[in-house]
Amino acid sequence: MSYLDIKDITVRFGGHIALNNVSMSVERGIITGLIGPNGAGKTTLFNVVSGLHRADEGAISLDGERITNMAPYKRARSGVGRTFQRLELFPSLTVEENIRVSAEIRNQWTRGNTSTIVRKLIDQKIEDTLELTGLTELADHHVAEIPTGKARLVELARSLMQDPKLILLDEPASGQNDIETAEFGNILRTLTNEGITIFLVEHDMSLVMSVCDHVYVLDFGSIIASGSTDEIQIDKRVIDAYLGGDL
Amino acid sequence: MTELVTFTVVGLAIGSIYSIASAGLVVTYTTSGIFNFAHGAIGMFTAFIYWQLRWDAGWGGQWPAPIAMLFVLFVVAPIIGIFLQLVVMRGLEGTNETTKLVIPIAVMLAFIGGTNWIWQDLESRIPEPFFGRESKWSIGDAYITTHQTIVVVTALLLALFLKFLLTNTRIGITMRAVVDNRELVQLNGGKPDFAALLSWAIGAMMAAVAGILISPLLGSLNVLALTLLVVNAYAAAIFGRLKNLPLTFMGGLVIGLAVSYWNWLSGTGRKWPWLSELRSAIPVVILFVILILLPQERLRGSSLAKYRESFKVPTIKSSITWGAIFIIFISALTLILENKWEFSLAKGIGFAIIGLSMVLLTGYAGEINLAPLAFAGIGAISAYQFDVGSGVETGAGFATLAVFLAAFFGYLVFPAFGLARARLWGAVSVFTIGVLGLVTIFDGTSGTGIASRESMSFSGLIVAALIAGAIGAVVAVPALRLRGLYLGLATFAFAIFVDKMVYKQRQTLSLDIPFIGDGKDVTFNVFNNGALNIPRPGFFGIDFRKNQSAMLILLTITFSLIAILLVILRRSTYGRQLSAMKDSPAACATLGLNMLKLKLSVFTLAAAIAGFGGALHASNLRAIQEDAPFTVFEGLALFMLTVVSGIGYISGALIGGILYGTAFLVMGDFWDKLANDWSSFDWLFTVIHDFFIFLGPAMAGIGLGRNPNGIAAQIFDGYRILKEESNRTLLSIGVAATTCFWIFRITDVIDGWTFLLLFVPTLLLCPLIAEAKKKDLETEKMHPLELIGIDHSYTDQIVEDLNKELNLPFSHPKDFEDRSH
Ligand SMILES: Nc1ncnc2c1ncn2[C@@H]1O[C@H](COP(=O)(O)OP(=O)(O)OP(=O)(O)O)[C@@H](O)[C@H]1O
Ligand SMILES: [Mg+2]
Repeated sequence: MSYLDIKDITVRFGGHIALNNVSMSVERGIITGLIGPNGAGKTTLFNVVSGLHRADEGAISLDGERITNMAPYKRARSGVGRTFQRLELFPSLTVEENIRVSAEIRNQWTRGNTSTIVRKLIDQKIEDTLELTGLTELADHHVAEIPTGKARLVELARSLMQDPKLILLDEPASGQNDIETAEFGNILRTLTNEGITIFLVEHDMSLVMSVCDHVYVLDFGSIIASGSTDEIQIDKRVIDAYLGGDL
Repeated sequence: MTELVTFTVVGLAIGSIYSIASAGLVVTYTTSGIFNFAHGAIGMFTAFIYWQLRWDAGWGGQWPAPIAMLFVLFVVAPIIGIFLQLVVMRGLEGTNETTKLVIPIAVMLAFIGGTNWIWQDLESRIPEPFFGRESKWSIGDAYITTHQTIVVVTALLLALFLKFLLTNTRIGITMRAVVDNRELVQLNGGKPDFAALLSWAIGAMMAAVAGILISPLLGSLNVLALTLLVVNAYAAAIFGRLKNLPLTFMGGLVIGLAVSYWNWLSGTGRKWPWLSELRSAIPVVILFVILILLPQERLRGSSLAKYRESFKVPTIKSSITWGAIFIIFISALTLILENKWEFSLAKGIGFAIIGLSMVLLTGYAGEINLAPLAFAGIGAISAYQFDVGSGVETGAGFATLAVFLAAFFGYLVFPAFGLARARLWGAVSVFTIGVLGLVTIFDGTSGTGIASRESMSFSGLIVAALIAGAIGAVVAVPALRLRGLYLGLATFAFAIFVDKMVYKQRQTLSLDIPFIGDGKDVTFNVFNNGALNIPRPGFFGIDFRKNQSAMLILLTITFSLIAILLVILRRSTYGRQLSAMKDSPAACATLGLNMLKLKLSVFTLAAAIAGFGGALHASNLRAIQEDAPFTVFEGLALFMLTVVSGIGYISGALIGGILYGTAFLVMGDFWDKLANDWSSFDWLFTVIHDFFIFLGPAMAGIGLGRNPNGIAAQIFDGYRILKEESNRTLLSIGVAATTCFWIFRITDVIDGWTFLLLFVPTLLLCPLIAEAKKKDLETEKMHPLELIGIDHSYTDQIVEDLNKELNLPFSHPKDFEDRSH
């Protein structure tokens, strides 16, 4: 059975239907892509999965368990992490503190242990994650001072401190240059090797096509195609939706 | 039946006025996105002007009603509205929520201050209803006055007018669209600026109509009472969710009827003496309930990317150093200050301690509390009830009470500290035992009753803090889901509730409480005759009753200790989580943080600090009254000044408190003295004096409210620069000069005023000079980009700046070195 199961989700904003009976499934341990033109409903779907927005209809289950009406913080505790398209960092804190506060929150709801050993473990984990995301040099900067591309990595690192089983990444490469994006692809593969399931919304097609194992295409709130990257690239409806875009 | 008709008519009339007032509020909110806190005060101010034109026997005066009415509605009110929009409110677009709240609060205080200034004599001003008191007609046995009829008809007409304006005219549709997307309206050829002007003019007119119509119901004109009456309409506006006019109108009528029927039911408050003031609190109770029941917006993040508030946090070590410097500094001042000035300064620091609760709650955690002084008042009253004024014996009973309160407090506050379960219980126990120990050790009082308690004990202060904390939690629990403006309004409602139901409470309560009072009934006298005498402390073997210096130093030490505690908190897991919650609740939720626990904890803690500070402050003042110093308007003023000073900083609380409690009074005194010394310029100095006394805080708020970091940040940046190597000379000169002034003063070479005139400018000038010097250096260092590499060297800093500018891979200069090896 798939890890994340989205079933018949409908979301309306007033009269506007942002998601129309959307169903998809995200398989364990791979990278699933979600693409679509602006306003297609991708972010809305992520909000529904992470619990920040209630769907009007439909159901969501995680690893077989229904989470449709679960509070966002409980979903996080069952292993759903995410980053935000419009950055949601903590500007009062430094890069390191942004990541640390996440680790501390996790520690609080798992063990609630504050012994020296645990604190050392947290320190180690923070160091490793900073290393993985290449943020070590920036650790003491305030997040307001760093470029957007780096800030996206801080969001990823912060989410990783939760030991998530599934991460929702909302346009993580926007604001990154080509070199950074390529590096980002490597980070994503490292994460899947560690067994983390990734659900990726991205406009940068080179990244999507190079890392994703399976891709869904959303347009005007409905899924218009799904399949492997090769299948998607030649799908007529997808090309139409993008109006001959850079596929 | 007759009664039903009478009370229904009265209710409908009042309700109509609420509807009109709240509709005005909604109109300005929908077009500008600003909740006009000053709405009530505008209604009050225009009612005074109307009175002046219509009824005063002297200046102006005796205009026919229609002319006076037309003049106020179509000249005075629009001018007020347009002026406000052009000069004050227009700049608020895109600022953060606190600023959007603080500036209108400042405007409200300006209207209140201005009205008090203009109409300052105590003459009683009685506006008559339209067509006099006797003009009425009847349905059956019930009478309906002409005034009531006019009120209801006016409300109906205005409702129709607004409906027509907003749905059928082009400008009305623009007005509704502006708030959603200003740029879009502009692109489509709409006129957002004109729409905003119009909405403020209409808003002010509606406030004026409400103020003029409601004032005859009050008897004699009273600034605060009239303002509060219009404030009641806020509940109706919230009922319409600040956008739906029909619902708003309905809400106004419901509130009016609720008040009227309650009056009927309770015999105008006579039937149940404890609830006698409820009639004036019903609207805010309704406001609170509506806010809680309203479906909440989903979690939002930091809504404005362009707004960056950056509060620097001091290290624990430096906060301890600053605390020590502050205590030494104030102690040195006590050697040269007269008693009167020490008292003023102590007042400022007392408010600053209460201000610390706002630094924790609003500055660190981002939760708005407009009732800081209500909690301070509750603290002062608790200290009085349980320590000084009641029959509660200190001893076993008192200790039992303290233990219960401490355990409750620990249960509320500690779970958010991230302790393992075993440790959590340990912490709660240790805290409870600690409180028990303190209460036992410092149980220095003897005897019972007011007469025998001549001093406040330390245990009284502890109980004050714990009770205020517990009540803070009780208020916070229903309000936990609220944020921003709505949380502000809920706490505002609570502050008014405390004003009405606690400060005006005249009942005594006799209870037989087990363990307490040695088997006799314990008598609580909630707010005895509108004033409570709260004695000076009497602990540590020091007599604070006669020694104002000691009292000042005690307050200073208390401030420093709580401040250091806050810095420790801010630097802990707890503080990081508060910051995270303030910056992005949405992100916090997706990180698995249960924010309810955290909010409850920080609310309780902040209320406890306010309660402790309030009790100590009251004890410095020796008494509190129903109308000073802990009322809702004073709370708003303190909140506003603390925000202006920098609510994210400890020093912001200090500056805010001293501005509010000390500075404006001292400045007033100064001009007063000049007026005495130079009697030929008497009038000028009196005007300046009055300006500072009546309008000082409000003007400070309007002038400085837009800087999100506050004054403290600027001053501190200046002082930070002063510490740099290059400024050693300047620093030494500054220190030497202040020391000289101090020595001159202590040896009586100069008098107090001269000292102040030399001392304060030195204190402010040094950082300013340092800053100016630094700016000069920086402009020298700036290179035009095109000259880099030609007449400037290609430094690492420039590489870094360019990379950032061009969004290139962020390569730290060090990397280059590494690779070149
Ligand atoms: N809070 C909201 N209120 C009203 N409409 C909304 C809201 N959030 C999103 N929408 C609308 O829902 C639709 C889907 O928006 P969403 O942000 O999910 O798109 P997206 O696929 O993420 O687009 P993008 O690629 O630009 O990020 C859009 O038409 C948007 O205008
Ligand atoms: Mg999106």
